[in-house]
Amino acid sequence: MTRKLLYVIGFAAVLALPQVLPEELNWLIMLLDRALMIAIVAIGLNILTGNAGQISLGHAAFMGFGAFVCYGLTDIIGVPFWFSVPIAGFVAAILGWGLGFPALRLSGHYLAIATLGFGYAIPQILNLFEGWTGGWTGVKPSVPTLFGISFSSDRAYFYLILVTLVVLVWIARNIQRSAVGRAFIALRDSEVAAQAMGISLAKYKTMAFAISAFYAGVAGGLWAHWLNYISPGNFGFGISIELFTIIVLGGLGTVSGAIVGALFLGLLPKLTEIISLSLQRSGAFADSFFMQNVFKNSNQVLTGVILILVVLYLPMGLVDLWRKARVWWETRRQAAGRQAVPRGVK
Amino acid sequence: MAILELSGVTVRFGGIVAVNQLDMKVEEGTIHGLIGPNGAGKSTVFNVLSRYYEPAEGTVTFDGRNLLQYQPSQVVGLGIARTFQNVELFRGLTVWENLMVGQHHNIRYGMFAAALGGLLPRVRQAEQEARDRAMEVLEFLGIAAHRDAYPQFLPYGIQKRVEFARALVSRPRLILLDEPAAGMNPSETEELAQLIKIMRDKYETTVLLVEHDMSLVMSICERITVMDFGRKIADGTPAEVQANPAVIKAYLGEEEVEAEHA
Ligand SMILES: Nc1ncnc2c1ncn2[C@@H]1O[C@H](COP(=O)(O)OP(=O)(O)OP(=O)(O)O)[C@@H](O)[C@H]1O
Ligand SMILES: [Mg+2]
Repeated sequence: MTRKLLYVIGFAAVLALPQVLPEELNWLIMLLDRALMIAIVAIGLNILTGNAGQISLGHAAFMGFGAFVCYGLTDIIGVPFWFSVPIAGFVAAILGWGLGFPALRLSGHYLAIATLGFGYAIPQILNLFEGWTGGWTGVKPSVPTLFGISFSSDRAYFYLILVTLVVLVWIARNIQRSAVGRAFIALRDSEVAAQAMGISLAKYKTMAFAISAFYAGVAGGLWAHWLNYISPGNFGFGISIELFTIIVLGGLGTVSGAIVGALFLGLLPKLTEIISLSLQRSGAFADSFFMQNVFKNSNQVLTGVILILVVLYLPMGLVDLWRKARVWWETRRQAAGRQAVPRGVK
Repeated sequence: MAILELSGVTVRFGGIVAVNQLDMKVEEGTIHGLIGPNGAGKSTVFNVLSRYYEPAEGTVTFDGRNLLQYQPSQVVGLGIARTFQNVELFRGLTVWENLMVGQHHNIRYGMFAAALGGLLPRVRQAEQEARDRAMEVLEFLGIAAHRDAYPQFLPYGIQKRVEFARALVSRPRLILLDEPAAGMNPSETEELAQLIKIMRDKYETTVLLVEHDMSLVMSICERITVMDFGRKIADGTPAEVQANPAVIKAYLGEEEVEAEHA
């Protein structure tokens, strides 16, 4: 009961956020938009890597592919934007499904290298279709208009992303709780036993690739018309590694892990930048050239240190903090209960 | 009628002949023992039946069909379920979720239905039926109390039972049990023996049992096949097999070797 109420209040707060944030915090809305789109991709990647155990270090490529499909449909062919976005997801899913086949023969490090390879190849290939993708110069996707409302500001776009995120979270949770989600975990944990239970490795591994590419494709579509500028070169190794870091950091295999990881990694650099700036301005160690340099670069240093700490002390990811906190709270309450109320025989 | 028939089955691993010209018939509705010293090739026979190992020679017929033309993931659909000598439970799933996976081939909804989940009555119904059946089997095997536990935190004997449950829940016509009593004490083994017999009658299955615990094998098996170094050395009722000089020699030979080592 109280839990439901908390959810409702939390969701209302999220809905109100773009309305109440002052002008000076426009950068925060911008970062949130970006983080939530990345979260959508991360949810899909977490189904592939966290649940089905198939690593992918080239996932940004699916995002890029989805972005160009969505742009092509909307701005070249003239399909309505709200229709192009899911289509971009499905087309990316077909590509993911196809790329799942060569991945069937590979696992572990070899799969990592192979996915790295297609993450590199797909932007190169997109680049060849200059009429569609604009080559390295890129293209400028339009600002979407829905029901007469133009989604030109980050604040308006926030709602578009939020609706998509909510729907895709719901779908991901359904899949994880279904026979399909259980099959993914089964083949991750024991390929022999999974097959003996009737799970075809080829079918379910390619399905996991397809589902995760669908998420990347949808997010890519949103991304294209949010940034209003895309080039094949934007969807390279950097974003792929960011995605992988997010799911490990947030928590492998859970939807909440993907979202928490994306928000954390999305906001962390800004946070450390603020700390870094205030350290520089504080005037501490003003005469030490070395310390001034440390402060100047403390942005990257802090981000790195925090990442290492999380991986060291929270191997199950940031979402495990929540579980740990609850266990701690419960034991404390029980201990307090024993002291306060001396109980006799039950 | 024989539900399972192997003839001339040979499996080679490089130079090793793990199974050598094996002929074996398992009659429908029986509890059939497959015994032999370590390395005799028993588990290899199971892996042939699961379609993991391709025999170099021979034929395998299950229920009138050529088993060798099916994929590993199609075997359970034909009605053959199995357990593994070294427990192969899914660590990331709870006990009852493991049993849900055990029914995977019976749960017939696809990816798109899964995405919509409980919104679709047929998904809700399929899940509910599978859950009920999982609970029924867990209760039958006396492990319902562990339903929400993750398998790796359970004692080895219980894990063995969960595997048994996961195989049984698929409604097999033939169930392959690879050393189900490993890790159990004598009284647990006795209980397991009774459970296997009751299961055979209640679920109308045929059982092929690999087991080193001779008291278990002799008390519940109606037929026994004995292997040694990949070959079949005897075949018959427990009494016949126990009286067979070749069997006594194979097992005595093992003891002599052990005595020499001691
Ligand atoms: N995948 C494999 N590769 C190579 N050799 C194998 C393989 N599987 C089994 N063998 C060999 O085949 C022979 C039979 O092994 P198998 O596991 O079938 O014996 P077993 O009768 O089940 O023995 P145990 O009672 O110890 O379980 C052994 O010599 C084993 O080393
Ligand atoms: Mg064995």
